[in-house]
Amino acid sequence: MDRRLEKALEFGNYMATLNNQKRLLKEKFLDQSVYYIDGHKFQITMELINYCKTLLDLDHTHDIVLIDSFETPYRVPDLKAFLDEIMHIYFSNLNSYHTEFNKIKNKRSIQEIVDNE
Amino acid sequence: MNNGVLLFANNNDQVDYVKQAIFLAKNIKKHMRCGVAIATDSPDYLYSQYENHIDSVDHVIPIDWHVTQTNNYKRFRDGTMSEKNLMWKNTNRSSAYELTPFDQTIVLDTDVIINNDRYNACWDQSEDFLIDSKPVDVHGTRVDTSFDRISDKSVTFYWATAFFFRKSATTKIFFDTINHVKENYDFYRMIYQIIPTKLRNDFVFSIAIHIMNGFTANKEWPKPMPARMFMTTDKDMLHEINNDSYLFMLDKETHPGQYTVNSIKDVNIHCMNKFSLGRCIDKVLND
Repeated sequence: MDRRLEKALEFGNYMATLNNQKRLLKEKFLDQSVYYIDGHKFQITMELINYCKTLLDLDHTHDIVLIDSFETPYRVPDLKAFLDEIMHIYFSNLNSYHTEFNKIKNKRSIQEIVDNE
Repeated sequence: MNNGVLLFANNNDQVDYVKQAIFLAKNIKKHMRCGVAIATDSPDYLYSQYENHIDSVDHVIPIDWHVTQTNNYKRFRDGTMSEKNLMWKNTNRSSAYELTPFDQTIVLDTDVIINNDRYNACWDQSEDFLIDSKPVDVHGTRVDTSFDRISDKSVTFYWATAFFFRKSATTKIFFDTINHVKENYDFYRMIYQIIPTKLRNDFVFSIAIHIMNGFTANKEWPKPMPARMFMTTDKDMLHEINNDSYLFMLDKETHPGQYTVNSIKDVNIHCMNKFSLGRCIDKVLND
């Protein structure tokens, strides 16, 4: 085989692994960024965080109704505590995502990429 | 409430589902810390072969299997280059409601790998029945629409691989409906335009859900499981288990026999290649 083509195919395999590994890290982050409370599930997004923060800034602090990920209304007794909890989960997962992403982004071989998980 | 996970493990000539169930039970105890029940047609084999691991199992439920019940055969692949036609003893799933020793039950396929505790969120939520319709494919670029609907022009595909139910009037009706569909499968298979003749739990559950929703594509019921299921098909291969990290060889669709590799951890995975899963479990259980 032409050496140039061989190199290109090798690089293609490396790129496929790297890109999929990055995607899997993102999917894992999304899977983990979830808050369960009183049988309700909230997918934690920047939108949810900002919405809660806006309500708090407007002095809506207690008994706030939010729509959960199942499209079911839930009355949050203490919005500050709710926001603290989702921020904690979100940033903890975000930091893990960032750390794991940085570990693989500069790896130059498939072996190095998969060894990091 | 009494909570736990129910597994069905009926061995065929070449796939040791009991071994998979033991490995899964150990993972459930490690991550979820709830009860585990294994319903099997081979309880003697379980006790004799896996006596050192039996402490991970709280209940062993013997079930009968009659070969004449359904001669269900299925193609089992081991990557893209190897396949075998083997018996598929999968029809007990509909009796989960009667068999479970738990008030709240998660039923899992034995080829599921539990890697976190997020299914524990099932116990406190209000829905009586949860099931997934859209897993995350570990393969990044595979285009496979066969898991979107049970046939091209039919209803949404639900995965009986992992579901939760709480004993209630609604779930009793649901399981009765499943049994009705199962008993009249040839009729429903034609109505729902399903070409394969073998009975598949995913199809039976999907049809029963459609019936329970008044023959409408209702998105409100049932809700999905609390954690997403990551899936690999039987064209992919699990290559290595290293602590809680799983190294997969993923099928290159346009180049049969060639694979790309990826590793994954901390998520629940449905590993459909039972042969490669069995090989990796052997290494873990023997260590």
